[in-house]
This record gives sequence, C-alpha cells and structure tokens, in this order.
Amino acid sequence: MTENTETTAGPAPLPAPPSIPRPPLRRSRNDRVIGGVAGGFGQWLGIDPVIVRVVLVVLAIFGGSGLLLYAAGWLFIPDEGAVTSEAERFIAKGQRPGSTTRTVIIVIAAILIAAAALNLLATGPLEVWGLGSGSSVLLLLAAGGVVLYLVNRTPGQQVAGPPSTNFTTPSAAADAGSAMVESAAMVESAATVDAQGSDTTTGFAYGGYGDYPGYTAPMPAPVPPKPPKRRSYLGLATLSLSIITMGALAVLSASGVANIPLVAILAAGLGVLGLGMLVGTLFGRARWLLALAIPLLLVIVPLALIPQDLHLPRSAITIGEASWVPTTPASAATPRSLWIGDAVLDLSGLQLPPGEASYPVVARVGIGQLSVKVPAGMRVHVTATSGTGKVAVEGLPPVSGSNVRVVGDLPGVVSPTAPTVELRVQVGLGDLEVSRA
Amino acid sequence: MRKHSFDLVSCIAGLLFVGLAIAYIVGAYTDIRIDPRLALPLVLVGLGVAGLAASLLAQHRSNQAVAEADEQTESLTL
Repeated sequence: MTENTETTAGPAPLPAPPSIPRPPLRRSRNDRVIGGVAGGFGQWLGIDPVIVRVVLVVLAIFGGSGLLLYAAGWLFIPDEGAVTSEAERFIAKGQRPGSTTRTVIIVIAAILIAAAALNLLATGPLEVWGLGSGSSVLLLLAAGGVVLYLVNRTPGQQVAGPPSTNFTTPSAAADAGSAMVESAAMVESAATVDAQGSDTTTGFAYGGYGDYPGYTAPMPAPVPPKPPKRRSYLGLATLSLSIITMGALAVLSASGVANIPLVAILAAGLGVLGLGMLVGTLFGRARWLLALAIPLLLVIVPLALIPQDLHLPRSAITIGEASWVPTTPASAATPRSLWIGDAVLDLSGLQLPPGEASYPVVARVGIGQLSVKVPAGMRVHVTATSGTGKVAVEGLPPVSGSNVRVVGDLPGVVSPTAPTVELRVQVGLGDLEVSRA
Repeated sequence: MRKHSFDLVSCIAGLLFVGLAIAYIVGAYTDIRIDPRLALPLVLVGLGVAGLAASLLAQHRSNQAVAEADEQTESLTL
C-alpha cells in the first residue's frame, strides 16, 4: 500500500488547495463548536470559519438574526459525510415506530424553552440591547435547534448513513479525528469497495488515527490529505477557568472579604479568556473563545461607564423599566436605583408637611434614562449628574457630554415658604430629564 | 496538548483581550476611564488585522501545499 504518502505526524493542517473543486456545503465535523455550521460554511467559502463565527455572533447580538441563521444552517445543511440534513432525517425518523420517547422529550423541552422565553420577556433584559419581542422568537428557534441537536446526538450517534457514506463508521464519525472525510471523498469509489471488503472492527492493520477504513485505500490521493486534527480541550478548559475566576471573585466580593467592582470581576473573566487564546497561539485550539470574549466585552464596556460613586446596590442588579412614585417624605428619602433600563420618578403624589424644611429625594440609574416629573408649584432644588449623556433640567440650559453636572432650582415656584425637595438624581450612562408635569 | 504552528489569530485576539481586561481592571480601581469610542474600534482593528494576516498566511500555506503536492505526484509517477 502506498499509504506512506499520508504520514500522520505532519505539522500544519493544510487547507484544501484551490485546484480541487468546491466540496458540497456540509456542516464541518472537525471544525465544530456547536453544530459545525460556521466551520462548514467557512470551508465551503474557502475562508476562515472564525470570520463566519464572528459575523454570526455580531448578528446574534444586534437583532438576533445570527441565531436564526445558525439554527437554519444546522437544521438544513447536512452533516459532513451525510447526505440528508437533520431536518430531513428528523422528519423521516418521526415516521418510524418507537419514536414516542423522542417526541415526548422534544415536547417537554419545547415547553420549558417557551416558559424560559416568556420569563425573559417578562423581566425584559433583552430590551437593553434593543432586542424587542420579535427577536425572542429567534431565540426560541435557536434554542429549539440546540435541543433538537442534543436529542439527536445523545443516543449513541445514530447516523443513519446512506450507502455512499459506508466508509464513515459511526465511531469514526464521533471521532474528531475524522478530518479527512473530505479527502476520503476523493477516493470514494475505492474506499467504498475497500470498506465493504473488510470488517470495520478488525481491519485496521494500519495503525494510524483510529478506525478509518477509507484510509487504507490503495489509491494515492493527488494531494496529501490533512493529518487528522486532535480535538483540543484548551478552549473548554479556559472557559471553565474563566467561569471559576468570575465566580470566586463574586463570592469574595459578596462575602465582604474584598470589595471587587462588578466590572473588575467580568474583566478578570475576560482576561482568562484572553490568556487561553494566548496559549492557543502555540498549543491547542482556543480561537472559538473569541465568540465568547466579544459579547463579554460588549457587557463590560457599558458597565464600566457606570461611575463607581453611583453606588448601585450589588445585591439587587435590577434590569428593565422602573416607575417610582413616592408618597411620603420617608419613602422618598430611600434611595432608588436601577442598574440598566429606563426609570420614571413621579413626585406628583408626594405629600410634604408645610414649613420650610428640606426633604431629600435620591434616584440613580446606571445605564438608561431617568425622567423626573415634578408637580406644578413644588419647590425643588436639583442636583443632576450624568457620567456620559445629556442632562436637561427645565428652566436651565441642557448640557451633554461626560461628567455632566447641573445644579439649580426648578422655576415656577408658587410660594417662597413652601417645603423644598432636595432632588439628587444620577445617571451613569444615559440621559436625565427633570420637568414639571 | 500538542504544539502546533503559530496561530496568529489566537495570538492577536489573546493580546487584545488580555490588554483590555487589564485596562478595565485598572479602570475599576482608579479614575482612569476607558473610552468605548476608543476600545471598540481598537477591537475591530485588532480582529481585522488578525483575520487579514491569518488569511494571507493560509493562502501562503495553501500555495506551498499545492507546490509540494505537485512535486509528490511527479515523484510517484516516475
């Protein structure tokens, strides 16, 4: 046999040379993070799958279409070495007897996902990124795709292979070292004959990378095929370390051992991801961590804009919309805070005892808008600040920029001896408006 | 883990994110503020450079592979 042309210890995996006609669009087996959609698409286009992944992640964050695209790709693009797509196979399987368990699992999963999605909508964190209720449908679709994937994968890789994929034994399919399905396809005819002629469990006289009967094909490939990629666990290990780091810092902070700002905790996690990628420069593969590092960075960037002196309560990270309507001086004096979202502070119900006393009212929003409605005639002294944004206090010129601070009295006071509301309002990143109702 | 050839994308992205992480940790404890108008374009440029360099490198390797393959097929037919 002339298999010596396919030495396995070669260093760099060689990309498919341009002289070979473009392979059919398949989900990649050897370059896969979730379902191999990005890997397969990248290979099909002849570009680095990381680029596809980054585009998908960006699309997923801004509008959610990336998730839909991914789910669609996963459902309708056949797996490498297979002819039918998951969707086709799933439909075909559904018609077979004995698939009741499957259906039950899927229905339960679907209900769970729907409940989770409704819950998300109720608290509304998606609104923060400008994602409306429409994109939750996309999220649902993507989540459904993931569940289908898991359900399809767990029972021992039931690849109902069509005849043309005989050379791909199920265990080889599970093996990440099946990088050469592509090249094996080039010698398909010979390989199929060979595979049929030998027992798949005993026919590995060639001690290469596992059970790959296709590789014993005597026909010399025109191009040395890729050495099989070993699955790298660097990315997974790094991700775990990153989660441990963030969790441990959060515990330290919560238990009062050290006061660690939330931004620092997340940045530490980002740093661990970065270190993993640095290790991946020479050992293992960790490129896909990019797809996690970018969203994490997009969370850190706005959080870092919330000034430390805002003192938002770590115990209650509130996200969404808030409406504050204090009625008594005591309840008005309790500082109100919202981490992310829009808040309205309505003072029209506030009953103050007569006399020239002053009553503090404090409200803070980390990221978002804060608008304060003051009833006509109420005497208010405003101290309004914004880390980055616009501050518009009625009767005073609006100011925008960073570290904006506006101090002054609201016009339209009826009685000079009325009680004074000492209004202290702060926004970390966003706009602040104080106006008469 | 096996050592493999130098992965430029991993290297640049790693440096970028470690750098940003340090900047944000420092920023959390000091008055130094990281301007997102600077940080985000920096990430874009960094990732773009990484992608460009990686694709050029891949092209180069691919060309080399074709050349080597041609040599091998020639030697086999002899």
